[in-house]
Order: sequence, then structure tokens, then C-alpha cells
Amino acid sequence: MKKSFILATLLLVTGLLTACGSDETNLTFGWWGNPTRNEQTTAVLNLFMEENEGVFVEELQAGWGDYWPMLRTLAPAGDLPDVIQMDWSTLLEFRENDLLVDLTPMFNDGRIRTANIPQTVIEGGRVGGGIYAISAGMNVTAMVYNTTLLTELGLSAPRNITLQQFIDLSREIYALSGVRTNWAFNDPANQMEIHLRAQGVVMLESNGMGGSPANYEEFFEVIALGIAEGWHIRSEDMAGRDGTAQDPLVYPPNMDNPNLRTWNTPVWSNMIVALADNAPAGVELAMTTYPSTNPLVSNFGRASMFLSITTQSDNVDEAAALIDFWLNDERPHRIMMAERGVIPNTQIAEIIYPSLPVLNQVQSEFVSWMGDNSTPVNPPRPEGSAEIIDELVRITELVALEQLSPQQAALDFFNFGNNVLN
Amino acid sequence: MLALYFHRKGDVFLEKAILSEKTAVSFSDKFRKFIMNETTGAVLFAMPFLLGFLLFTIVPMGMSLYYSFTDFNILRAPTFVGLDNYVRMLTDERLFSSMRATFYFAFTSVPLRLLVALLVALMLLKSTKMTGVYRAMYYLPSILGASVAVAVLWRQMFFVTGTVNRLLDVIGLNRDFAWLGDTRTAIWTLILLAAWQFGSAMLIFLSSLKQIPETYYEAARIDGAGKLRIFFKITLPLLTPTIFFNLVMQMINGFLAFTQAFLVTQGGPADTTNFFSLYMFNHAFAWGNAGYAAALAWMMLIMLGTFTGILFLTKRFWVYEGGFS
Repeated sequence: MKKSFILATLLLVTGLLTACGSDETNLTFGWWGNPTRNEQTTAVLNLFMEENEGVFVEELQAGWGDYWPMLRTLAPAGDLPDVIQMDWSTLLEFRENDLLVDLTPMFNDGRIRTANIPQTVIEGGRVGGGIYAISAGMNVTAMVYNTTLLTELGLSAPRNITLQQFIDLSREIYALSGVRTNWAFNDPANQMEIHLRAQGVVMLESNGMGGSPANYEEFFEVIALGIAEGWHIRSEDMAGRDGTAQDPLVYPPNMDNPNLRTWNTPVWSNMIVALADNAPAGVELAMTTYPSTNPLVSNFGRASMFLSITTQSDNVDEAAALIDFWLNDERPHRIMMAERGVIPNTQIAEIIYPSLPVLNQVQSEFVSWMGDNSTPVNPPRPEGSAEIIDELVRITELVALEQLSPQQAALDFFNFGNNVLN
Repeated sequence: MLALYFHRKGDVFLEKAILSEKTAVSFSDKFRKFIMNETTGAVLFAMPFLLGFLLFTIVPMGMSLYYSFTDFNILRAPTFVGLDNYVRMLTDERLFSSMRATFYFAFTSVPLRLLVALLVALMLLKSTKMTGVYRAMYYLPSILGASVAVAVLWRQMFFVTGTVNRLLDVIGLNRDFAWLGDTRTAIWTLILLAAWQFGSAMLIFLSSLKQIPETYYEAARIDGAGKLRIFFKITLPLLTPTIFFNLVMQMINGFLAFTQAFLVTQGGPADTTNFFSLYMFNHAFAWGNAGYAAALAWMMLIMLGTFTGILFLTKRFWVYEGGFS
């Protein structure tokens, strides 16, 4: 009696399990993000599940820093999500290790419709003969700044700001208010890249570092100068800050010690929304280009926040359907409100933008202005870039701590990069 | 043809079964004997551990030894490079600074933690109504200790506008000191966190303190020994085996410290908290050098083994192991 009861239960459970398995398609969607983005993404995925009965989308989410190690450990186990958010800096690495599916056939047979997406955006996901990622938001490097503070001080930050204008402005703001400047931190690779592009040099070439150590010096010199004169925020005061919420542009909210605050922060254009969410009451934000000795040459815009299908996906059709829904349906964008950057689908952008908050419109205007004031983006970063960029972060910190001279920093960084890339 | 074959085979089987009824009984006897044997029992009961140990420790160790001789980025198949990874260590400056940070951390946080653990254990030795509550309370940080939440809390406490500076502000001291960003103090915030997690060492001290026979103390008191003298001449010598045990275990933990540095300081500022495990993690999972990371892991194993060996060698000079000489 007992035995047959156990047997019956077992049969029932197995039956239920197989029933679940056979009817439902499981997709996994992986992305990096912030609390706002996570909430929106969950809502979009729920909407997709409502539309597509029998498809269940599992979420895999992490912050930017943990996202890549997570994917790299999932990959050898064959557990990569079906659809992943992809970045321009890692696109080449994932493609070269055969982890991404070529989307071209899906564009051709209409599984992913691209009629309303500009060709330049689509080309942004190209590696060699295939297109392995499609942008879900357009971003450009942008220096977000506290326009309220600048107005109070009777100052302004022009677009295409030159390096000298930037240094003078920083000095003036510091002298008048004690508020400092952030040029070295966040992602110094972007600043370095801009700085090198102005000199016609690409930082990370597939066979080594571009240019010579001398090309890299001025970047570190600006930091050393700012620290010595006091207008650059100290490396010490950056430690322990928790992302956008505690960016010195917006945190601490009071001005008890203006030395802990900055008037600017070098970021990506889409981040103005999250920064504004965290800004103290009464502080308005605006954006301009990164300072450069030759802005029109160094500025670049690029497709970003890519979506890719991995080669480890068993449900490529459903994965393609998810991407198609994301790109071509208006409703996800009503939820996401261009948080990932300027909407690539021109038709949807036209419908959505008038109803979006003013900062999204500022962002959209800035990105399209940048289109006319920039040169093409550098080729995707080669494998080994992650290690080199981490070294740049460390060397930048050493310069800011006055433990390394700009000349030595340039030489050390150049040699380190060459060692890794060769 | 085939059916005939099976038919025949079945017949033979049946015949055999009938013929060997006797032997079958003796077989089950044998099986019973085998299963009731002490050695078999021991092996069977140890099997869950043995299997786990083999599959999750020995096999991965073997694989990591192999990887340490390869160029491996986890995403592609490894390629054999011989001793390259080990040679690379000799010129890796960041490795040296990471070892310095790790040693500094282990050699300061472990003695500090043991000292705090011993003091608290001594205080909790007296039985009062509240002893149980206090013991639980002091153990609490150790339960929370390895958790992400505490590390995040720690970061917010020592952050430049964090709780610690606000408290300093109240008593009128410098309120904008960057504890986490200053190369002199960042590692001490982590040492403090480690010392605060003294719970498990404390419990071990407490239990062995209770095992010291009361008669020794009585005799000493009758002979007129003071409290300090009793502590140094009776308690401490009899506690040395426990101190030794705690020292070895905590040292190993100290050398493997990861979570605190990963979450609180990310190895900074200027690599002063870039602990060995963190450096290894970055090579393996962030920078695509899993082969080099495996070699680092083996060097760590050799280092830990040597260090523990040395500790064992010093044992006879200071650890009391029963009997009088």
C-alpha cells in the first residue's frame, strides 16, 4: 500500500514536470543595469510573455562589473542566456570565441524586422562578415554637468569644449565655489580614447598599442595638474562611491564640503537620466562633449546597448522574436522611456519622444547633433582590452595619488598594453 | 532462429537457477557477511564524503594543475605553454604588491582577532543569567561576517560622508577623512572588519577554557597566586593547543580573504588591498587569464602548506600537549 502510494506520487510529479517541460519554451535574457533599468526590463519581459503564450523568459541580471565575469563563467558550462545585452568593448571577444549568432539571416527573412532602423545603426554590430549584435539604444560620450551651479557663477560650458577651455573653466569654478572637477575617473578609457583620437591615434589596435608613449602623456599631465592645483577631485574622495547614485556630481546632496562635489562627470549620454534622478532638488543637469584638443575629430557616436543571441541558445526563433518585439513594438519603449539611450527605430522614436521627459529630448538632440560633429568610431576593442583598461584605471589612480609622474605613467601604460596585446 | 536462441538461453538459465538453489543461499550469506563487515560499513558511510571529495576537490585540483601549464581564457580550449605562467610570476610586480597586502592583512588581522576572541571568551566565562544572550550576540558578527550585506554596510560606514565621519563630526574631529581612499587606512578598515568577526574563535576558546580543571585554580589561589599570575601560569599554557588550532585555521582564512576586498575596496587604493585571491579572481574571470590564475592558485597552495608546516614546527616550543616534563 505504502509502496504503491509512493510510486503513484512519483509518477504524478514526473508527469507534471514533463508536462511543464513540453508546453513551455524557456528563454533567458541577461543584462547589466541599474535599479531603474531592472524594473523596466522586467516589465518589458512580462509584456513579451503575455503576448507569446507558452514562452517563459527567465532573468539574469548583474551590475556592469559583475556582468562580464558572470557571462565568462556561464559560457564554458554552456549556460549562457539565449539573449544577452552586449557591449561594443566585448563584442569582438565574444564573437571570436564563437559565442554569438550571426543575425543577418534573421534580418533577411524578417524574423527581426529592420525596415525602420538606420543602416548605420545596424552596421554598428558588424564583426567581419556578419552582424552579431543589434543596438537597443544609441549613446555618445557626454560630459554631464551641473548647469545650475555654472549659471550661479556666471559661467558656461560650450559644446566642443577644448582642453584649455576646460582647464580654465575648472580653475575658475574651484576658485569661486570650491567645487572640483572629475576628469580622471568613471571610465578613464573613454577620456584616453578621446584624447588619442584628437591626435589621430587608436588606443587598442589588434597587434598592439597605437601611437607612442608621448601620445599618452598629456592625459596624465592634466590629472597631475588638476590635483596639484586642487581643482581636480582627489582619488581618495572617490573611493567607496556607489555608482551613479553617489557620483560626485550629485552626491553628497549638501554643499557642506564643496571639495567632495564636482561640477561635471564624464559618462555616456543615456546616463543623464539616472544622474538627474539622483540629483539634489534644484540642481539641473546638461551635457556637452568631452574636452579635447580637437573635438571635431575626437568626438564619436556609436550604437550601444546591443542585443545578441548566443550560440548556446536552443530557441533561436523565440530569441529572435524577443529582439524583434524589443526593436519594433512601441509598447516596450513606453515602459523603458529611452533609458538605454536614443531609440534606434526612427518610426517609434517619432511617436515616443514628444511624450518623454525633457531630459530624454535633450539626450536625443545631443546624440543627433553629435552625428554631425564627429568622426567614425574606433574598431571594436581586441581581446585583452579588459586587463589593459583595468591597468589604466590603476595607473590613473597612482597619478592622482601623486605616486607616479605623468611621463612614467604614459610609459608604463604603453608597455603594459603592448605586453598584453602581443 | 533468434527466438530459438533466447528460448534455449532461458531454459539454461532456469536449469541453472534450480540447480544452484543451495549456492544461492550461501551467496546471500556471503553478501550479508560482506555488508556487515566493519571495513565495508566504514567505506559505505564515508562514501558521500569520499565521492564529494574526489569529484569536487581532487578532480578540480588536477584540472587546475593542468590549466596552470596552459594559456587558457575559459572561453576557448587551453593550449599548452609549459612553465610560462610560473615564469611570468617572477616578473609580475602587481603580484608582489598583492602578496605584501595579503601578508600584512593576515599577520595583523589574525592576532588581533584571536586577542579579541580570547578577551571576550574570558569575559563570558562567568555564568550569569545573561551569559547565553551575550554569547549569541558576540557570535552574531561571525554569522553575518562573510555576507555581502555587511561588506556593503562597511563601505557606507567608512565612506567619506559615512557614519564614522559623522560620529567624528559630533565630537568635533576631522569629518572628511577618506578612510577607504587613503593608502594608509584602507586596509585597516578591512582588518577591523576581520577582527570584529571573532565569534567562531571565541566559541572554541570558551569551550576549552571550561575544560581547565577548577582544582588547578583552587590550588593556585591557596598558594596565594594573583589573578594575573593565574592567567599567565595556568590558563594561558593550558590554552596553547587551542590557540595553535585557532591560529592555523584563521591564518589559512586570512590568506584566502576575498569578499571584504572585493566588495569594500575593490583592491584599491593603489593596490593596498589587492589581496591574492582577488588578484587571482580578476585574472581568471575578468581578464581572461585563467591559466595564469591556476598557476597563482598552486603557488598559494604551496605557500600556505609551507607556512602551516612552519607553524607546526614551532609547536614544540610553545604548545602544551599534556604531561609534565
